[in-house]
Amino acid sequence: MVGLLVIVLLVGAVVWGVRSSPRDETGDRSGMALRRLLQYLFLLVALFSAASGVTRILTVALPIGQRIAGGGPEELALGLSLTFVALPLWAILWRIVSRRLLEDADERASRQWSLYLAIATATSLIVALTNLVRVGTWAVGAGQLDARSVAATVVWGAVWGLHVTLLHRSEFAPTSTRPSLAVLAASAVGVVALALGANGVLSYGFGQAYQAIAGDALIEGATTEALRRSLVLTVPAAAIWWWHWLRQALHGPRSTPWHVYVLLVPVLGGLLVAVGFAAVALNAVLQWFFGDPEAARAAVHFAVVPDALAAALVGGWVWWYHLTVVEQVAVRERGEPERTYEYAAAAVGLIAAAVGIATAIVAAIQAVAPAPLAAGDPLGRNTMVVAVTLLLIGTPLWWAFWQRVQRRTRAGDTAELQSSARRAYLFLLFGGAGLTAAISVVVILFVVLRDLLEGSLDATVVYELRVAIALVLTTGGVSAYHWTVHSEDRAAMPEEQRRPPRHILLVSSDGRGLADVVAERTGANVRTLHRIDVAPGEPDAEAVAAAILASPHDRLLVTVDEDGTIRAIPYDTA
Amino acid sequence: MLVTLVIGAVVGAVRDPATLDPQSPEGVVQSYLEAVFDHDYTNAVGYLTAETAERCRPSAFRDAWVPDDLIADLDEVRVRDGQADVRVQLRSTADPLPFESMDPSVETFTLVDDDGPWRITDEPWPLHSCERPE
Repeated sequence: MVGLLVIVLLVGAVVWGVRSSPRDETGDRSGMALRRLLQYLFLLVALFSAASGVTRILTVALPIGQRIAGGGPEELALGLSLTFVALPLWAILWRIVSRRLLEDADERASRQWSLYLAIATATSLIVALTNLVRVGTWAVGAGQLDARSVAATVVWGAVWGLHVTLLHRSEFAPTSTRPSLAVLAASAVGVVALALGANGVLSYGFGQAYQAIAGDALIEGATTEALRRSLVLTVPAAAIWWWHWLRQALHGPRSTPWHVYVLLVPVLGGLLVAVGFAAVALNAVLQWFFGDPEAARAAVHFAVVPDALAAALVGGWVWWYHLTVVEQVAVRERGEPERTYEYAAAAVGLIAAAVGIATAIVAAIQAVAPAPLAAGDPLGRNTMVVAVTLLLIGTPLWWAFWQRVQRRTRAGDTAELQSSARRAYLFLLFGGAGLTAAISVVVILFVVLRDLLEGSLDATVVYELRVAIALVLTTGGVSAYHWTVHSEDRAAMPEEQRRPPRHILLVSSDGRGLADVVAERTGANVRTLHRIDVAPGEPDAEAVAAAILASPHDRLLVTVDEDGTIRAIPYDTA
Repeated sequence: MLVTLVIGAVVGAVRDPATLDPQSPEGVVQSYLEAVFDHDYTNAVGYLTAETAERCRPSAFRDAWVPDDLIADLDEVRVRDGQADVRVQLRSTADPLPFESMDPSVETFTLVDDDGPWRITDEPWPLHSCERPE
């Protein structure tokens, strides 16, 4: 009830705020953005509350299913409360909002309205589809019908239909390049549901074929109930995908949101699913030949392969199809969505390969280092097989994408060098791996020093520290490599792209004269301090300027020693 | 007036939980769930087999998490060779919006008929930390 009161108060406040705000708000863009945000947020809250209330009332009223325990008056009371409060509030809010939308093209073009439509469409679609599948499962004789599923399908299906109608009415449809946001969100729901359903159907088919080939090897054979459940999901999912993607988004404006969706949801997601499940199948094969398979019979051991192949094929199709669609857009310049996709795929491949290498190092240390008396279980052969699988899958994935982006940087593509995706990739890998390596070094030092002080240090410490050693070697290598790449990026950046240091604190025996020359050469603000611990001299001003310009840092403390050695130490004022 | 009619119609349609044969597998599950929902764990243990009741004392129920405002709908009953599987959908009316109708949990209760009334075995919902058999 407290939650309900909060909703009532918040929606009331927004209604009051919207009604009392001036109609001409062109002079206050941030205020207008906030007003829109709150307006659509509470429209959404009121909508969901009202839909939930009506769903609860229908659930109680529909004579479906057999309740055997619980279910006092709470559900009806909550349903009636939500409906009687949220439904009128939603109606009032919608009246205000719709008037604004009809009168003001800017309102229809606003991000907030697009976002509202996307969230409302996708959420109602997910809830309606989930419950429709449950109803469909009953229809095909694979489950029981319950009142909640029927009620939710009807109510949330209506909410979805209402928003699809809004999207297609010119007086409400967003007029910016973002009309596709709601359609894209619904396309995402459609393609995920379709992939899940198709995976179920394909798994069943592969399972049957496997059973026919391998005999009665399966411990538990796939049932037609599983097939029926999958078909019940596939049919509406295909319809949703056809309606939202094939009919609309595919032919819509190829805006940045369009590319973000296509590249990061179906292309990247499909690739990861395909590669992940291909790894499962490969691991099963390697484990049979080189590991310790739990099952004695090949037919039982490989029973996991049909499902893995089905998922890999479905993921692969989703990836290939959407990538083909993107590549047909030849006019578009390569942007951040494309880069994010490639760097994300490279990162996944690299992390998989690094885990594989670390595991292999652990196994190698265990094989050669003397083990303490109370050594734990040795690393199993199956773990080694997993490591090899990760290496075999991760390395080509990383190499394919990393070489692709590196070719661009080597060709002097400054947009690539400056891209946020590349910087995030390099810094996250450099920082994340570096932090892991540093923590591992602390662990190694601690154990070595502890044993040394106890007088118990011997060769078994290598065995004890095998994981930390593997992490230092692997993550240290990853971190160092990405720092090198980052440095090369900076060096490859055109001069005008690099900002020279702007604040120099120069400490030399020369004093003002050197500072003036350096300031002229570098264009930096140079403060100087006169050293009194060395004999007065004439430092090489050009060398000092060159040392400053070579630094990527904004603030530098530059010292010039008696022998002419120049040190440029970056600092910050914090 | 219309609002009054709507409320009246809906309240009139509100159904009490079905009354099942207390000797049937689903009837035993119903009695067990009613006891659990009422936090009457001593009574709930009475619907378990002697072996399960030995391991699952009323204190084990107190360690389990039972959400408030639960509703149990009978999903499926399968009886075969002195064993019954009763599948029940459990959901809470207090689930958050708007996903309260998306994912009810499905629990299967296994019952055995040892020449007597049906009794629940195999550490049933909501139990998860019964003592291990010696």
